[in-house]
Amino acid sequence: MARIRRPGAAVVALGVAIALSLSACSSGKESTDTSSGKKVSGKISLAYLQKQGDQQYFIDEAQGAKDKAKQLGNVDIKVVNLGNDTNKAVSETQAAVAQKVNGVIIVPPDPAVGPQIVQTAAAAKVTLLTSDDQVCKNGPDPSKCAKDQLVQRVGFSGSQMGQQVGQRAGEEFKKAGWKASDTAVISAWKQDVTVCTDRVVAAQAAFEQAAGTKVQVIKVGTDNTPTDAQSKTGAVVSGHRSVKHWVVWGCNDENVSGAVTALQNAGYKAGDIDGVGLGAYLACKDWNSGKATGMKAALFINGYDVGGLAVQTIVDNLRNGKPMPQEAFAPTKMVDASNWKQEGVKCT
Amino acid sequence: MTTATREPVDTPPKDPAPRRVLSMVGPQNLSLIGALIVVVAIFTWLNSGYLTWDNVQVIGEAATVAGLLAVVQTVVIICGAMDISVGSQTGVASVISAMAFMSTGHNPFLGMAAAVGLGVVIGVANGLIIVYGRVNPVIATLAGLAAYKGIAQLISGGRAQGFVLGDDLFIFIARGRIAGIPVQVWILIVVAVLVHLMLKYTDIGRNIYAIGGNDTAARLAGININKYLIAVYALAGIVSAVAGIVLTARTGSGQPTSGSEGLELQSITAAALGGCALKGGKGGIGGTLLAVLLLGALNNGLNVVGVNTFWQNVAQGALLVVAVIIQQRRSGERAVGLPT
Repeated sequence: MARIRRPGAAVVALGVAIALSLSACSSGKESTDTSSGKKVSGKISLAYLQKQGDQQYFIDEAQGAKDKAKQLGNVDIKVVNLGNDTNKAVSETQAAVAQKVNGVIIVPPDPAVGPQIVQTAAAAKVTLLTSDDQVCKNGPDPSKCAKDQLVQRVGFSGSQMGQQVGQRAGEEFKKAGWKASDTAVISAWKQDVTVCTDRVVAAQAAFEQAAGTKVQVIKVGTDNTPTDAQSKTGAVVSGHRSVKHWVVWGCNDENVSGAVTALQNAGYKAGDIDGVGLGAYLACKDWNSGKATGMKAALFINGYDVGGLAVQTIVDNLRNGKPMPQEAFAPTKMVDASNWKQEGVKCT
Repeated sequence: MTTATREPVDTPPKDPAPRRVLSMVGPQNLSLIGALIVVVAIFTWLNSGYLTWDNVQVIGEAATVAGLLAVVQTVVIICGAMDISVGSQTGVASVISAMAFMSTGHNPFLGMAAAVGLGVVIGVANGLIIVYGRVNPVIATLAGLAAYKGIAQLISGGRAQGFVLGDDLFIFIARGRIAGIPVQVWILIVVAVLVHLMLKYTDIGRNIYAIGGNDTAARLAGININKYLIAVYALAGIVSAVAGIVLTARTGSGQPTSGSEGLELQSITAAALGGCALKGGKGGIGGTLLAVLLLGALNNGLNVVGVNTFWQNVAQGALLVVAVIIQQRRSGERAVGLPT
């Protein structure tokens, strides 16, 4: 039935393709050196590629980077939101390289895409720095990466952040004098994002240590937005009406804020909720209202500082040849309703 | 008495060469080429680094995955249907290709074969649900969008799977060049040429146009519509699997959702912008590829000149609406009222 009526065009097209293919080929295998080693005397152009660029933390980080670039002078910076798209991370790195930028700072949506980013930058001799999340040069999992194969990084440690959150949640649990038998933990995160998983896993271990007991943990899969966390938690609460007290942690403030709101909407009093946020940019809204809230504390991670520090680090390297440190950390602080303003949390 | 000289009836009217070329390209594609020229001119004016060979390659590579899906979406739409699950199918294929690669002792061919095999199964399943479940294609594949995404997350545990960038073949797909053109772009070209030849120069293609144009007439003409629909969805499954393999190579690991979310919108936008009538029976691969190129050039340009990324979503949505409005106007239907 399938007769080909004019096969000539196909043959010609395929012939041209094969002839071209024989004329020039590249296997694509390149080196993985993340520093160009060249000093830049004139204008420095940078690309800052961020995952989840619509979240408050990363918006602050972008602003910090732009302000630092302005302050340093003669530095041109372009910020790109990668969302959660690893494919876009590759495309935008390629685009930055094609634009002949001197340096790329990246927060990849998933560290598994790291080796491809490293290869792309190294092949073009563009200096690469990561912020926030670790990236391994030769493997998808930074936790299994040899130290000398990790790309230089500015930011915070995901597992350290989780550990601090879990510890504070455990301390609050102990202080409240709740029993493990009538308490449950809501651990809310986007379950296909590796860096989120690292945070909540670390939080659980630290909680158990600080609380001195194990509490039932209900894992809630969300898309990392407050609305989704709220609706998913609402359903969880309906299925666990016997629980009297709730502990909440998550990948970020969005998850914790959404879950705490759902619990409060379900009739739980603020005193029966032990929510510890990560970021403080949404937790501060609860505290700002002056009303009692289940959001007991939050780890303040200042994206603005990280963005500025990242730009300073890469510009120092490009302009003066100063080696980039393997890891540079911006300070984190656990804040609550009593001290968030003094600690510098900006509430929009 | 007057005498009149008549032209012989079998002599075709002589058309000047430029007009012949223009009519071959078609008004739809001409408007796309015009839009492409405008987009390129504006971004080149705003940033001299835009129209460089390096950046052109980047546009091509970035558009490959969505381009593959747009090509096969074109076939589905011509047939009078739609496949909203192509993005999720790509995610499943990406995960399967990486997991099969790892579990078979790093054999890239088995990894790719597993992905394509599963693509066929998913595509046939879509077709069977539509034909034998008598489910509207939009609803059936909307269900697939959610279900296949869930399958990808289940089999991967929600995490990126494997690591393929130690393998020469995957590295070649990700970063290799043939005649200075990225391998990924060649994959898109080969798939597009094969699909174009099938649509234009085989009876299968003619029958697909016939089904989309008037399914009752096609059935009365003896075309087995059910068989064709299932085959078209199987083809969508295969090409989505190829897109998944490219995604795995590009990102270095099997991605359950990252990189494949939103591809259905991109593929439908490109097909509609490229001249496919959403009612079926009309469209072509050339127009779709031009639309893919236009969307790729636009997205790249917005980033090159530093426009907020959120505007890209607005631009894509607006383009889809504009494309469909233009189509409706050109179809000569009444200008106002509910679409039929």
